[in-house]
Amino acid sequence: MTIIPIFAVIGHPNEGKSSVVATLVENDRIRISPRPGETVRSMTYPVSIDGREVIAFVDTPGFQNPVQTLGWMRKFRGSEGEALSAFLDEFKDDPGMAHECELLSPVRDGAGIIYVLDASRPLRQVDKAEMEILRLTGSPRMAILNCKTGEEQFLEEWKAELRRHFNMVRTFNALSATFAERMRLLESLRALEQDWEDALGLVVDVFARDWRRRNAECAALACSFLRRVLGMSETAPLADPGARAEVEARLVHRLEGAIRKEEERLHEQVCRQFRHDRRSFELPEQSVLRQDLFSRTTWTVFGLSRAKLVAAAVAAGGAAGVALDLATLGSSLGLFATVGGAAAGLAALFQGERLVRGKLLGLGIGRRSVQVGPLDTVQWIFVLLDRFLLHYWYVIHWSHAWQGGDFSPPALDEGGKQGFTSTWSREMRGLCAEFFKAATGDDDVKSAALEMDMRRLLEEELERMSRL
Amino acid sequence: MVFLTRAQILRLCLFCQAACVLLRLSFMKHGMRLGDYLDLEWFLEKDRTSEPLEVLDRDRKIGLAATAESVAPALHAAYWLAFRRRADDKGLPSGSLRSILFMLRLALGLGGIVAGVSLTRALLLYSGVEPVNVSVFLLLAVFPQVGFIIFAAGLMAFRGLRKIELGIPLRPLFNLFWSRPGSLSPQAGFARSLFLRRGWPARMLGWEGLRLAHLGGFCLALGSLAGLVVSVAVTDLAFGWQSTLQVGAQGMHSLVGALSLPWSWLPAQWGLTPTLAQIEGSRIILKDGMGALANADLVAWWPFLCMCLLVYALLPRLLLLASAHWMLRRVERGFVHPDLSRIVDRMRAPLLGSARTAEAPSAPLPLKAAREAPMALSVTEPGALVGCALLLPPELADRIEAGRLSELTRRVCGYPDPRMLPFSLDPENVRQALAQCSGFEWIGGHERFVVLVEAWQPPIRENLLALTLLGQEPGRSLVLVLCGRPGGGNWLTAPTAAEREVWADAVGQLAPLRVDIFGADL
Repeated sequence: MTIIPIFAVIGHPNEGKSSVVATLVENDRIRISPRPGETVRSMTYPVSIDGREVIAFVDTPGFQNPVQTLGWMRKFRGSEGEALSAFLDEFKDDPGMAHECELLSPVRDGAGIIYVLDASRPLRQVDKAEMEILRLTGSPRMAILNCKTGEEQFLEEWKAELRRHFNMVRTFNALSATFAERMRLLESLRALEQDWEDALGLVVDVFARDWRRRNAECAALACSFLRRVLGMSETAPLADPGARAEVEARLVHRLEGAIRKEEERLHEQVCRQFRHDRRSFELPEQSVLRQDLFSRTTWTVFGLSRAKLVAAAVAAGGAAGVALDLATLGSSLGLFATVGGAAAGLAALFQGERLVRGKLLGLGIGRRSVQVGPLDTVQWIFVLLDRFLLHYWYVIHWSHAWQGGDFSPPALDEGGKQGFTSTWSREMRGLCAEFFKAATGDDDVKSAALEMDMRRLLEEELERMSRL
Repeated sequence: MVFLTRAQILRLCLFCQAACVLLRLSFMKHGMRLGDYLDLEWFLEKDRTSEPLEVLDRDRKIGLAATAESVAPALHAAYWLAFRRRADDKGLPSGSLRSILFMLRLALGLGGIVAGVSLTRALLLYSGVEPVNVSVFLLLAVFPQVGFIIFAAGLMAFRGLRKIELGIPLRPLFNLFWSRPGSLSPQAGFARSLFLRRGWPARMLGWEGLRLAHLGGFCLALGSLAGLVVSVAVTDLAFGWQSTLQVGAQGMHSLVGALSLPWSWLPAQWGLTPTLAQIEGSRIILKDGMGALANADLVAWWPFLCMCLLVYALLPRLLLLASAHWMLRRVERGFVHPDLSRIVDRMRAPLLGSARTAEAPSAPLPLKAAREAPMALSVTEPGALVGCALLLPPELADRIEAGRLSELTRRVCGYPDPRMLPFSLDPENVRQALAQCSGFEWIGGHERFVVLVEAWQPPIRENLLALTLLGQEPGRSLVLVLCGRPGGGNWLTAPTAAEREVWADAVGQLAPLRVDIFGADL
């Protein structure tokens, strides 16, 4: 039987031990409470690869009697290596020392120690007692500075003290840790004990690959969502021509509802890719994503500025023209590309900033029926993409330990636009516009080919965002 | 006689199963077909409503099974499909498609043959009075088929070259056959909805439809030819030609020569083309009747008519059928489902798992503030009168001005200028503090202890034991002052509501010990 590396996450009550474990093993169900002392039993959370457990983290209760425990250990007359076992033997039936027994048992069984502390508060005697106890165990140990409130005033004082007791000290905020930070923490655990290097290296590799896979899944989901939404339309028979406006309004309402539902489904699927419980995931209070997709705020904040929108449309129109130029074996001297680009640019110029409700949706009137949709403004794809990307950003920064509060992405753009697409290169925006054109048009073959390019683009963008 | 053990039978079964899968896969080596893509979409649709982790787990298991069976990486997607089909025993869209196509092929094949036979039989009616008119036969049995073939070939060439979707009006067709889509099986309904979407399913179905049409045409030509051959073999037939125009036998011979060009290279003695004499001898002049015509001339036409049907109807149809088949295969091969790469990725990526079990609900903190025996204060020190003693963390002793602390105790217990006791709140330190206080002379003989606690530190058992130890002496009053996190150089900040609540609850467990609680922000 192979012995896997086990790490006991130890600390004072309410310092964020459960949060660290929840974030590392991506488990939303670990009880994280603002009230101290909720964890009364050690719980082991293994990480497995193809069903084989490779490492495990043990969430432990907090110290309740550090001074007494340290006092007993100092008075212990046997060899240092036997102190822990002797302590556990002596106090195994003492209910008052139950937490100490629970948290020290994994250490006696060979677990490494991850000591979690809130470095946003001052260092106290009781902390020194806990550190000394852990030092006396002689186990490989690392300290994690978890600044719960973001206050760093006492950080240096902590570091100085911790260096005396621990092999390694790292800063890690479980509530806001990014994927890259999690990987760095796991990487640093490798250095703690040579025997664990291989197992941890494997875990880091698999985590990284799994993350890329999730990004690829999300990109595929987003493309599929765009294809569905951009091709959506609603039709109804029109018995009385005088009732056209009323029928149109009803259809617009129905189409909006269908698009909202699709977007909600996409967001839920992205959440599930990152193992977040949909019930626990919440958008920040003032996030613009809480605004309705069809609200004026959404269209003010997301999408491209008029100039960029026109440029993207010109690029897409030009690309279509290039195909025609190629078909003429160049004899058109690029005329189609120029004319196509200019026409698309003009269309975007006049449609780009339309109001959303009603007017934004394409209205085609048949003889005896009314049709609303497919969407006819290129800005749509950028707004939908921005909302997807922002939601993705929240999801990957939504720690499994997060229990509320707010977090916002960095300010992204000049000129009032806060979407990610406004920071994209001209080529990327051009591809989006081209995809929009193909998805809303009849060119299914081209749409399928462009979807693959869009997927690649989004995969790269999601990877980039993961490293932000 | 050889008996196999249960384990051997099981191994044999597994081996056979693996062999079957590999055999199926070898048939799929050329790529996936329309039915495969339909099933793929069916399974993907099912997966869309499944939990991603379950999908991931299942696909990884399939991937591991593929690796164990040494399936080539290029065939992993096909293996995935075969595996899913085996696991799904409730019918698949490909099965519905297969059934429908089988019925259509049967109907078109049989219908074509029956129609062909009927057509030729109708044209070959001969009662000994008037020979079968060769021109009418060509006009009704051969030339229309040629016309359709030219039209179909032109359409195919046009569509094939431009590589655009075959615009089959699927919705009206479906509505014609399935006026109530709800009555369809889920699999057939799914296939219907898939075909009604634009894209590859409709495109592939277009070529499949064309293939069916050419099958019908082929069977029609086959039926015509068979009808002619069988009629010639089992009935007495006479063929002749007639015309009001003065074309003469030479003119007819030229026309026949032109039509028989494709097989003119075959030996003349086979009699596949009537000679000028035979044409001359089979001309019907109604006023002369057919008594003057030679029998040999009247039967010389049938090989020519057979060759016409073969060369101008049957073979081109076969060619078109093969072309439609090839085009369908080309479209199937050229199409790569965008989700295949995702499936293969899931099959190959190691499955990362973590325990999903929820933590058991925790019980309240097992804090039993054991009452300790009253301390025998042995040390007696003379001193001034003491109004109250302030126990505070040693780290705060030098950081807070004495005046502020004096003001604090005055407010909470009415006595300023407390005796400072910089001790941690644990039993050991409290014992030392009490020992230090043993010599105090208290104003009014009443001991008053004010304990300053940093409330951002949650109360642990040692804190509560220390409070018990401190307050258990009769006649001693105990006041707890909670301060919050330090900020801006101020150490006597207000605790948060949550911190107050946590400490109040914890101290509440020490009842009947009475402890008054205040915030430091008085």
